[in-house]
Amino acid sequence: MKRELWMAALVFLISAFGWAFAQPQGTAPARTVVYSLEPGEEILIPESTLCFSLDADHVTLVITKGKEGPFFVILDGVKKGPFNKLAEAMKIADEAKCDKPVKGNECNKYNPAPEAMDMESIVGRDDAGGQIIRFNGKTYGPYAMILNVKITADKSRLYYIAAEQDKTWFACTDGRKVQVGGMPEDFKFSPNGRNALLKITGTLSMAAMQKLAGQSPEKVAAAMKDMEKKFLCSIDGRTFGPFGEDLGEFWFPATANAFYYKVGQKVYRDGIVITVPEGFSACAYYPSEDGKRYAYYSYEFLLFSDGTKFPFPLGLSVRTSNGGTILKWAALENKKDLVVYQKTL
Amino acid sequence: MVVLIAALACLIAAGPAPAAGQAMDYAAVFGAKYAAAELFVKTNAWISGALALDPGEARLALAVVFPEIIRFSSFEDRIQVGALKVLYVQYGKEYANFSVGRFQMKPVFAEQVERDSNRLLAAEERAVLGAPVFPAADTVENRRDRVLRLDDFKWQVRYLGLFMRIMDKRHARTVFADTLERLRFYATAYNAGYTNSEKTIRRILPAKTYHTELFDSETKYCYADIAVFFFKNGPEEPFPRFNRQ
Repeated sequence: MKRELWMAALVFLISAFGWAFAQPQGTAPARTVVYSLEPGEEILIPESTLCFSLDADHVTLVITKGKEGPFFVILDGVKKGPFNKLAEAMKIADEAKCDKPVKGNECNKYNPAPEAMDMESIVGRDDAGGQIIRFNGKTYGPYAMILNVKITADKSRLYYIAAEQDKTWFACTDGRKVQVGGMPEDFKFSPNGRNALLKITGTLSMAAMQKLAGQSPEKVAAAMKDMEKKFLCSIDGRTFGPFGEDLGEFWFPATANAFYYKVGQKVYRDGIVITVPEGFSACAYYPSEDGKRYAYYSYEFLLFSDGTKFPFPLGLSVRTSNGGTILKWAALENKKDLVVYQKTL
Repeated sequence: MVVLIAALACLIAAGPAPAAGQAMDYAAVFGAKYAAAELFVKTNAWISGALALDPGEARLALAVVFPEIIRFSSFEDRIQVGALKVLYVQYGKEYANFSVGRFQMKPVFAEQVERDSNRLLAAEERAVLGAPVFPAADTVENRRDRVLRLDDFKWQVRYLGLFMRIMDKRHARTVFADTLERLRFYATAYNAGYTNSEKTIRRILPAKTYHTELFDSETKYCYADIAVFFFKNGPEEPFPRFNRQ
């Protein structure tokens, strides 16, 4: 008897741990039917709004029964109408407040609006004529030239590219500073502002490039050849490359803080090649912070890395909470049920 | 009676009329929207080359879609068709009535162009545009591929090139007084449905149904008139020759 009890307890514990470890992707998503269309009713999609947030969802549907109406408005499950004119229905629909309506899907490449900067107060000159950066009460430099500056969304850090005689620096105001060769192009930083990646062309410094004038054609040709090489350099000093013309886009996802880049058809996370869904698009790829799980959006389905697939997501909204990524999306099932799903990545 | 009511409605819906003998200045009517659309055409001279038409025909083709470029410039940030694309891929035709991208092409238009391209155009005519033989089956995969093509502006240009060639075939015997009359006809067909008969297209040609609001507007204009205005007043150069991209 005692042994059976132990066995039962063990089975329970294994099941419970199994369930716990299967979380969050192993679980079925929360499913809510927002509205079921009655016979003859049709949702006017462009006039309707899906508004998802972490604590509450607001779904506003504008519905017509026939081509010329009558029209109805479903406000958070409550049906209002009929209205003879669409404009009357739209007046009611517009009462619903929504700061961030769900679009088809939100592109998951982190692309913050540039912080408004008073460049004159940030980039200045010291007494010797060198360029300096003033940020959050500290001064950085002097350098011969400040080439680019970007401030993180929380305004705690400023990344910059600066050049001296024959040196180029990729630096952050938190103290990290990397000397880079070649011609710096663009750089991007992560959603939490702590990680950044710079794209570089060639290995010759800007000073070396300037000296090319008057050099032999062979040297110029070699320099041109050098310019075909591309590199990526992280703010913590790692360099990736050389790549050729096959180096595609590089980005930080909005849902994670590791950098990703494409070389030909291959996708790399933090310098290591990863497996991605067929027909990969960076915008449609939603990785978890540790890169072990992902969701992938297409016109046909929302695919999770655990293999689960949900057909025809009308719109996808992604929010992060306590380090977890929560996805909400809607689907029109059986041509009549508007369903909202929620699943944690 | 119905015709009379329709004519009256058309007059009521019509925009401000210019003085007799004066053509409407659509650049002034649409202001910044027109300027944005014109700038788009000027800065994308490659389109004319990609259409693989003679310069005159390329200019005509761009005039055909120019009112749609204005419309797109007007609400490109506001219109959301993502969910409609999904519903079209999922359920097909009954959700196909929405417009995509710079040339505001509808999936139903693309379906028809694909069918007619397979049926009416020679392999060389398709090849010069980089268009394949399109699969005919109405499946989720084919609808998905069609939406992906419509999302790709280079493909919208290809669809426009196919449309021009299909119109030439369909109306090879139609008599046009001059280039402007042909442009009016092609523009109306593009806007109202090119599978309509010649008689229907000519009948609806002067209708004032065009506006640049998201849903509806009390002031409306004639689509063909705007196309003609752009043709007459738009940039003549650069319209590079065949495949000079």
